Amino acid sequence: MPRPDEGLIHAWLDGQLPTEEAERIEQLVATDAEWAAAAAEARGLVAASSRIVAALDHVPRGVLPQGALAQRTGRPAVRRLPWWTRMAAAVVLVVGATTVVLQRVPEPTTTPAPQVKQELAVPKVEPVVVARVPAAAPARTVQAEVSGAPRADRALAESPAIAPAPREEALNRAADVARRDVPRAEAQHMEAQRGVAGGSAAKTVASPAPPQVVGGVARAVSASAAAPSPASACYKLLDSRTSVEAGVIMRLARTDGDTLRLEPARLPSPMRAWVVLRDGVSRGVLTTDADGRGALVVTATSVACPAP
Amino acid sequence: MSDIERLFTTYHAALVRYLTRRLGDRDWAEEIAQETFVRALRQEQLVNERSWLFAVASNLVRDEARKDIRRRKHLALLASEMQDAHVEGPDTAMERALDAGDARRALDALAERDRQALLLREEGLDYPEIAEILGIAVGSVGTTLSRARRRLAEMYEAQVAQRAQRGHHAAS
Repeated sequence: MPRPDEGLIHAWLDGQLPTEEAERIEQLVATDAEWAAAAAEARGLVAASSRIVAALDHVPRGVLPQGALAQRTGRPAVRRLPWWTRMAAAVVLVVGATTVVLQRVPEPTTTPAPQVKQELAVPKVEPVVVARVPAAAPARTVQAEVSGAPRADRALAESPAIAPAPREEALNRAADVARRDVPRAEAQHMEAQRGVAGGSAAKTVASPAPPQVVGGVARAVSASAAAPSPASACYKLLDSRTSVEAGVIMRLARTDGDTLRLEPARLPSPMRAWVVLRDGVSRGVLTTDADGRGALVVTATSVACPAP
Repeated sequence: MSDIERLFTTYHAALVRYLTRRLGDRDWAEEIAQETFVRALRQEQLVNERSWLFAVASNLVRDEARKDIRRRKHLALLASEMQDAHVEGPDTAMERALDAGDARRALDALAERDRQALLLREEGLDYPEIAEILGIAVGSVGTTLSRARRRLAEMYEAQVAQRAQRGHHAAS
């Protein structure tokens, strides 16, 4: 009589043995006490591990700080500065802002997204930049102004000057990943997008440069409608099975080869989508709610972006 | 991939569940699941679609640089959140959160291959599929799973005992 083989018993319990082998193990378990005990123990382990693994499903949402999500979207972030540097920067900000406000002619109040980020990221802040960012401006106002920017930019815009440590660490990680991962073409595209996000107030509005999208994406855009520039491209998503509208206009957040990353044109919204061109049709996956239950396969059609 | 809707309907929930269990973060899991289906869209055809999807998802997870660091940070955050839940949440929610914490720590104590085999099996993948994804012989999947299950149960029991001991010390 062979000694009980634990691996074999688990394979038997999992129903993964060929019929003959399964019958042999069944016979051993029925006739041999040692095999019977091993099988009973294995049954307990199978049940216990299933229960333990199922306990992993109770994962609270939003445990990771918002900034950590930037890591997934590959956007750069900021490093936390020492307190004395922040203090000095604050003094420079106040003095600079006061000086410029007293001396300069009125300027537009809208703030281009990249300037906000620059202020957060670079310790040496130019007074001109400060003048365009009211020190008392609430974060939500800034967010509204950069609503066309991708998620990581929004996270940055929302982040307070002195962030809690976990968020800051996540942002630092995001910066590292972004430096490593973001392709040059995408970076150029995002630069153009930021220029437009600033609207008419931006000093250097990106000219309607040719789309940075490549291959199939460019064909997808031109095939469906007059191709908008990547900075303003928006898409209507249809359930690919029923052709019913998914109910939201999505804005192009970034491109990755022949893949479009879409986010809702009007934020906040849990929706997000990836769309890829295949056989002349842009199809993709849309997650429609925060629980991920409302995910569906969609086709994308280029449309005019809604007014901000 | 003309059959993407069927593929999506059939496997999306399982893939997100597998990834959530593996990563401990639902948002991250959904991101990777989406990326996996986008890659499927690019394929002309998939021979073994289920193992292909889970293999690609597993590779995407593996390719994430510094995932271990992030997972540890996540655990720390989860632990602090559970402490908050202790103060605010109802008993059942608290118990569930603690249970999830114990399960997470027990799972993290497994070797990567064992952990993957276990989670793939829990999603109903058969031994040849698991062997293909892990790059091991079909004959060794049973051994891998038996080791993983035993270790998981032991580690979980140890976590529960440790927590009970801490609670006892705190009470006295």
